[in-house]
Amino acid sequence: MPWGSSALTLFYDSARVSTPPRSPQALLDVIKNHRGRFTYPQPPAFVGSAFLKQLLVLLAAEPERLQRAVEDDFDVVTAPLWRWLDQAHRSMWRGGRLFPRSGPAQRELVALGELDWMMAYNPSEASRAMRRGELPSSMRGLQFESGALANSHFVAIPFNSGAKQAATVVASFLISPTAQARKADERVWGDTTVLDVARLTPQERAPFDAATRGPATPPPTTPQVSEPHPSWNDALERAWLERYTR
Amino acid sequence: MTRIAVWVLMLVALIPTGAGLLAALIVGLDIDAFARVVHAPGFSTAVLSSVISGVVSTALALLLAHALVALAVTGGWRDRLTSLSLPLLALPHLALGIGLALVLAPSGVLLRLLSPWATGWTLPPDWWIVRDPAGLTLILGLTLKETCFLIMALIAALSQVPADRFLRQGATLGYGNLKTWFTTVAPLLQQQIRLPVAAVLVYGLSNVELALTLGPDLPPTFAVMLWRWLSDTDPAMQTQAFAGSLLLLLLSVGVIVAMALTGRGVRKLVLRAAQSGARRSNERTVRGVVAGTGIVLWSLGMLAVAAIVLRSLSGPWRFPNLLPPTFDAATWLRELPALGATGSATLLIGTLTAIVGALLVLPAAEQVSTQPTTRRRIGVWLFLPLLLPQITLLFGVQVLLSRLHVDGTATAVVWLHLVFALPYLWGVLAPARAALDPRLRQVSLTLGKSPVQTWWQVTLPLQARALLLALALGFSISLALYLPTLFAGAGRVTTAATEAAAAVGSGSLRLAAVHAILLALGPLLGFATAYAAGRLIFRTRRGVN
Repeated sequence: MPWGSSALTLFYDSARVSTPPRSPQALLDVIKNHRGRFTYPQPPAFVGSAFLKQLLVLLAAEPERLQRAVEDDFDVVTAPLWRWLDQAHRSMWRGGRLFPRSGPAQRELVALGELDWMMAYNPSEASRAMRRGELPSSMRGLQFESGALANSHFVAIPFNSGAKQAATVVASFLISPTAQARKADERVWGDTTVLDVARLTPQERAPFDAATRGPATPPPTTPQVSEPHPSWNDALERAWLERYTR
Repeated sequence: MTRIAVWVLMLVALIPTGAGLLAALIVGLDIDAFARVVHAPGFSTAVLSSVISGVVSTALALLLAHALVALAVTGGWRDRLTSLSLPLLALPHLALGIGLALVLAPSGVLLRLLSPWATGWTLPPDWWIVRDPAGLTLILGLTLKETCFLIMALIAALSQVPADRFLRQGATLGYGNLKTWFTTVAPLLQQQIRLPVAAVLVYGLSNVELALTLGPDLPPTFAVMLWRWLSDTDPAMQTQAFAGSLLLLLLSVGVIVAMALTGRGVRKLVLRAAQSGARRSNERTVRGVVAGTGIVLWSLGMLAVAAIVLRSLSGPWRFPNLLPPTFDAATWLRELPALGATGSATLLIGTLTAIVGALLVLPAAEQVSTQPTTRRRIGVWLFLPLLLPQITLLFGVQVLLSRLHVDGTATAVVWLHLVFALPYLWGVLAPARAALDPRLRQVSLTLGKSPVQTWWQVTLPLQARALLLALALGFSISLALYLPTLFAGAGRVTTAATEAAAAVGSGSLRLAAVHAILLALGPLLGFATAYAAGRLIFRTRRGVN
């Protein structure tokens, strides 16, 4: 059962980047103009792989092709991605030859002033960190104009569970408007709800409307693109390691 | 005489080792998996950077430890050297790694000290210092940590070498103190610390803690590579990790053999220097260089500690601010409620490891107190697990424990901790017992006390100082063990070390800093307690040492 949704969001220091680049080409220009200030988590770190998939979806000649499993056309389909990366790496942090180990590790480099950019699956990541005093208050979020890579996370009951009924009670609670609204509040977690808020009763909707949205959380109006077929994830990670390990 | 105590000790120490090795062999001997290991991207570079960082750091640490001990003993500040090394010895590898990264990185404390007033920089330069491809920062971190360890090993070995007599004889013949030391005392000391040096070498080759925080990437060191494969969800990758761990074992054996051969070469050189008869009256330059290097390294270590403390208390701390613009204890306050359970598990496992370890070692040490050869041989056997790469050993142990369905229990964790603590407990307690004057025991028996009463009222109090040191040592070793806790605890037993490593893995340095500090406090607490208990015990036993 789905119980939360994510959309890949990039965060930048608005004190150093004035116009948010909302397409891969614009981002490439910003990277070239601010040498050494951009990077992404090293795949197969979760967010790093997500960034590769996001770029692939936006750059591929036929994005629909990605909805089917990988075949021997992998090199052809992914060629635009590698072209973009090869160009970007040259102007990235440490010349694109060293990467932060994870999303949070990259956030740390932003906090220490080595980077202007970080990224996360959760759009409220930076706002929450700012609230905790872990990031400078000039951080802002952006999603790519033509679609943020989105997915859902699920709760599941193991087939050999000894307490199936109790588990369904928990699952029902997790999907309830009360729990979903609380989870969506940035002071608690800031995880986007899977419910269609428009279809709730006004009473159920109230806490969603009242939920705080921090200054670094982009408005939920950007269109979303769905993840490629899972086989692309593994193939991309393998190809990335082959390509960029010296 | 029966040797039950010795056998019990050996079995407790060697069953996990033997079984672990066997299991690693069975699962890891897979031709396909070997082929995948060898063809993994960056394989040969990874192996090379493991070997280079391990060998170079061990050589540097050994050289520096010998030089500093020589300087300190001949210069009359041996005790100061010990007390200066202790805090860095107690600092966990992981904590040192985090701290050094905060000091040395382009956005680190060193460049902040110079910016922007001297450099003009308001943004950190894009220099490749920490996690550099040549592994220089990793070598620095390893050298710093292992020098302290080897200094302690050398100072412990000093009691077996008549250094003062050699120095006097050398002086009579017109040699400077340092030349006498390096041609007569140092070779004998080296003989005594061969096993600790081999352990340092293997650790340097196979460690994950420092290599993760300071080491290169794309490819990382071979041990980190194995570590990543092991955390992969694909079972084929895990077999690959096993196969790789066997290669790491072979590599370690090869490097130890190479080191032993090099050692012979060095002995010949030392012998030639001894026979040259050359005397140099002025040793001041040498002393200056060695002491200077020591001071620089020590200051780096202390700066690392300061940086960790600052980081744990700071919000955003952007370059070039030397001090964080805002301080808050939020991370500490958030972590504190969870500390109760983890803290008590850590203390319990550490205390159990120390006490059970001492209970195993004391009777065995009693039995072999008059047999120096047996004593030494037991020491070598107990040391064996420390000469294997932790990853190789632990892969196997995990297979064994999960087949026996005892993984994830505190018992399994304590048992595995014992494997790593016993060699040190033996190293402290067995020589201390052997050094006791046998006549004291004989007199007590003659006066009609039973053997048990004699042990309790005469032998044990005479060993009290060594026992306290051994307990504190066992406790600190247990606290610092990360991989063994993780493998035996199956992720269900959390201690300060696993929490700290998880915090490092999360990437949040601020969180990691909090845990690193807690992790470093444990050993300090242990040694302080041992010191206080010593004062208490010896209040009514003046002159007993």
